[in-house]
Amino acid sequence: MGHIQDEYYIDRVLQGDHSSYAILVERHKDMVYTLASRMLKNREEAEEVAQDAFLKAFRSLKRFRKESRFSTWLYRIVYNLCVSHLRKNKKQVQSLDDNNYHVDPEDPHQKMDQLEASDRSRFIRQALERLGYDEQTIITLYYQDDQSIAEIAEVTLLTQANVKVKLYRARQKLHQHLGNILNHEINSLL
Amino acid sequence: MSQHAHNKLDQQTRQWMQQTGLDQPAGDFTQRVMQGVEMQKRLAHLKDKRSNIWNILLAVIVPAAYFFYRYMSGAPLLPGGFNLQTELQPYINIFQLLFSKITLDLSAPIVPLGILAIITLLVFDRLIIRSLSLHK
Repeated sequence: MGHIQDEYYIDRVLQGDHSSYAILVERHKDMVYTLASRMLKNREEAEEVAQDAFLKAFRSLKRFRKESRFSTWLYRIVYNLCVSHLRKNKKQVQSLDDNNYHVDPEDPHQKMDQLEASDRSRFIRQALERLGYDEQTIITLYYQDDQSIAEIAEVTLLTQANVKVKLYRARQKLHQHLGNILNHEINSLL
Repeated sequence: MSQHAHNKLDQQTRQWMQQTGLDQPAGDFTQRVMQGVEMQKRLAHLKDKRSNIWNILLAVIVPAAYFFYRYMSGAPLLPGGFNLQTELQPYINIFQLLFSKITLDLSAPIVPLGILAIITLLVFDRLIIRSLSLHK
C-alpha cells in the first residue's frame, strides 16, 4: 500500500520521532489552511491560526484517542481556533441573503460550462466567500475532503440533522450567489 | 425541490468544488510549524529540568527545616529521643545566632515575611529558568 496511514506517523511521534510530525503537517496543511482562510477571510491570520492549530495538535497528540480520523480531530481544532479568533476580533461573518433563496440549477451550470477553468474557480471562490463560516466549513469538508455528515458534526459540534440542513442550504445559496455573480459579470460586459 | 434536482445540484456542487481546489499556505509553512515543535520540545525539557532542581532543593531544605524546627522548640532532634543537641552545639550556635539576629532585625509580622519568602522563591525559580536557557 503506497499511502501510509496517519496513525503510523502519530505513533512514531508519540515514540519520540518528532520529525514524523512534518509528514502529517505536509499532508494536511492545505486543507487546514483552506478551512482557516475561508473562515477568517484573511491570508495572514489564516496562516497564523493554521500554524497554531498544528502546534496545539502536537501538544495534545497524547490525548488523541483514534476514535475518529486524525484529520477530523485536527479540523475540530482549526474550527475552534477560528471561531475563537472571530469572537476575539468581533468579526461576525454572516452569510448574505439568509432567506429567500431560490435556485434554478440549470442557470449557473450552463453559464459556468462556457467559462475558462480559472474564471470558474474564481467565481466559485467569490460565491463561497458570501456564505457564513459554518456553511463554508461544512461545504468544504463535505465536497473537498469527503468527510461524512457524522464527521462534520464532530468538527462543528452540531447535530447530524443540523449539518444536513446547513449543507442543503449552503448548496442552494452557493448556486444562487454564483448565478448572481455570473449575471453581474455578463451585465458588466454588455 | 425534487430528488432529481437535488441530486443534480449535489453533483454540480461536487464538480465545481473539486475544480476550485484548495488554498495553499506559504512555502515555508511546514518548516515554521516544525520550528514551533522544536521550541515546544525545548520548553518541555526545560520544565523537566527545573522541576528536578526544585526536587533536589526540597530534599535538602525540608529535612533541614524539620530539624531546625525541632531544635528551636527544644524537642529531641529525632523522634526516638536521640538528642544531637550537645554534639552539634558549636554548629547550632552559629545558626541560632543568625536566626536571632534576623528575628530581632526584622521583628516583622509573619504575613509580610511569607510574601517576601514567596517573592524570593519566584525570583529563584526565574533564575533557574534563565540559567538553564543560557546553557541550552
